[in-house]
Amino acid sequence: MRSGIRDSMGVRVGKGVNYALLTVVALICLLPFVHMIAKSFSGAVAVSAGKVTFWPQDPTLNTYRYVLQDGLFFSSFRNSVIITGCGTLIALAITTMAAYPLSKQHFRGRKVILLLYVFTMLFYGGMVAIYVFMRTLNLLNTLVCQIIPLVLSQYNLFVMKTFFEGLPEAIEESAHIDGAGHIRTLVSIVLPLALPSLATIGLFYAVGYWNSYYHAMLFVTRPDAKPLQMYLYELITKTQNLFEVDPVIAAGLSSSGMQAAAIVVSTMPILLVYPFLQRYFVKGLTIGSVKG
Amino acid sequence: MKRLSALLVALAMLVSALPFAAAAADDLPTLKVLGTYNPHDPNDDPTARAIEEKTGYHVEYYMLPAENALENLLMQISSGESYDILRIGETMYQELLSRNALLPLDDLLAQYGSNLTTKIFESAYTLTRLDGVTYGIPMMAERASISNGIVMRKEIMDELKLSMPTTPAELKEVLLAVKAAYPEMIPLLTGSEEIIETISSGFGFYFDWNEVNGELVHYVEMPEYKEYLAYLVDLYQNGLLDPDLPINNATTRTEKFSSGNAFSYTCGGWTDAATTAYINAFEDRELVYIDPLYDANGKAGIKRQQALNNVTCIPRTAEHPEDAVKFMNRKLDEDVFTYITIGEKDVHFTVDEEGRYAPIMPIFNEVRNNAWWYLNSFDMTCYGDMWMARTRRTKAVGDIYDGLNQHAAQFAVDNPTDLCPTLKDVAENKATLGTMVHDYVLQVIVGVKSVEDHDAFVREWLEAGGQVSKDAINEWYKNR
Repeated sequence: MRSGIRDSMGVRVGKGVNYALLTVVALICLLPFVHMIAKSFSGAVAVSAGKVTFWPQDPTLNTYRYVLQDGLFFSSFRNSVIITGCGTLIALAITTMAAYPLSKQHFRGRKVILLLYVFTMLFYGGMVAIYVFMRTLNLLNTLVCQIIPLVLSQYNLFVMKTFFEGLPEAIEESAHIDGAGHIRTLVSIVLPLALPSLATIGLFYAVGYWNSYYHAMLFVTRPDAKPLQMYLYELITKTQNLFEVDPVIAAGLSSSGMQAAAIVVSTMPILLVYPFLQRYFVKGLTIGSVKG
Repeated sequence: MKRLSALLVALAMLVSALPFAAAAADDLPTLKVLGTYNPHDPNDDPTARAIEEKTGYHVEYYMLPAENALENLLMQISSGESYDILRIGETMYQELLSRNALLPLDDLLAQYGSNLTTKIFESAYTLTRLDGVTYGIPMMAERASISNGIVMRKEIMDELKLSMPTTPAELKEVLLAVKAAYPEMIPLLTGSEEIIETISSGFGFYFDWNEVNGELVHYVEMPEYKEYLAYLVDLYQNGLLDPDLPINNATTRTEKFSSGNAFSYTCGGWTDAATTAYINAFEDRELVYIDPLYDANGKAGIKRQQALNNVTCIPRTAEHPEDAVKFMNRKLDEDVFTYITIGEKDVHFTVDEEGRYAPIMPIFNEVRNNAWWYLNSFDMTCYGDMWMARTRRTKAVGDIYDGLNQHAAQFAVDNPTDLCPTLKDVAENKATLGTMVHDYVLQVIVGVKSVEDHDAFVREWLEAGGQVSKDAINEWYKNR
């Protein structure tokens, strides 16, 4: 912002260098994505020949037409939205409910429970065990089996616990004095203060769910129960054989163009969520809430 | 707030737990079929509907993932997943067989499989038997075809007045001439093949296992292979092969050839991505297919592929094995088979006076593009001709198929191990030995290893499983 006082030469040079550096960093982040978008809208021949840089050559929607070809894209998209939406809500609820009591020093058995969480961070039951578990519960080929494995991240639990520990004791004490119980204190006092943390961790969970395909690969054999990432991943791995699969469609496609379109399609939704959550990434809600 | 959260969570659980199973129709049981990955929805495809219409069976189709398919399959079967039919690759079949997870089919076939036993040749069944017991229904390659060759750009050959090479020496001359005229161009772009069969013909061997004095010998052990390697080294040192050969992959090869940066290419089949992409990119240009090269004795030949493609089997955990066999048998009834594989005559395909099948596009593709995925096997008495309709869906793939097979009558040679069942000792070592040879060839070509030390490599190869494989395959060959 401009002020009445003129910046000194040193400050101006410093600012110039900062702007230049930040612009370079921003471009480094942005250009690969622009390149991807350009490729995804370019004709197969131009992409194959490496003629596409930052602007589509021989523009076409062929790649998108193929990626979005049939009901499978939309069912996968729907599945991913449900998994991400429900999964994030459930994960946030469980993480909060686990982290809040564990943040209390006077909670008996706290250390043992924490140790158990750390134990599961280090040792994993293995994929056969979890497969048999899901099968026994009759959850294979459902969306639940894709939600459960990621429903609690110990890392996020510890972040949340640390946040709760940082809240001034006095705020909760004042709620208790006013007659609030533990649940009321958590819901009405602590959670509103924890919104930035919830938003951040919620975003971690959402990105995790949106990008996950490993569990779907283990548990899902019905194409209409697959998440978007798995659909796109398999689509890409098969593009080498596309001529065998469908020589008619394959005629206008290149594998790198396909990959670019798949990346754009899968990244776009989660990218669009970021700006709406950004305002929660403002810390300092607790500043000034305790007086005296 | 509390109620709302509880409601949301409950709703979330409910929505996400919705089962994806459909209810069975009529009194016939619903069959569960698991197949390998293909990018289509098998439950929502015209062929699936045609099969249900003709057989009366409602079928739920499942697919293995594109990656780690074998691990996924083993996990599912070992935990008791109850599929009625598995349509899988040969390696997967052998794995399940070795775990005793498959149902013997002989009694069921005798009772319900009249089509399955008469329309699939006995010779094919030898590939899926273990100790005389049938565990799988074989699906061979649709038609015995030549599946690879070298394509060259005709406009450059015409411009430089080059004639078709017929020997390794002539091939080198052609490539040298192109190199001289177009120094920036890759004279010969090679694929990931272990041996380039068009060239290996020029040194007198055509297969992995070649018959020498009544015994099968792997090419690695043949003195001709050493000459072949020395020839490739010579091409590489003269700049006639792609300098990036060791790091090329399918995508980079496609990009190099389809962008016109290479003169010739080792085409890997009628659906080869690089060749097809080239034809689509340069519609006004022409490719020529060189015949297998003649060796010093004036002989030439190239492998005609007729190996096992897929196997259909029934796991021990299947709930409806009898219906599974009845269902597959019904699919081979003459009218049903034609309808579900290529559709209706004069609606989806045509047959001319000479018996040549051709698709009616685009409807053929719309209704039967994925038909191959649903086949458990095919009527071996007639499908080879019907299948040609699939090779003629676009001009590009049709041209490649015809190009590769243009002189099949003159050069095609049947592989002596085509009808060899999977032998445990060979199968166990195949991947390791294959990687070993692949790495060795690259190391020799780029100069890390010398072809003079080939005998040391042969010893290493024999110790790493080559000898065991050789003994096993010769044991079969003698008693076949």
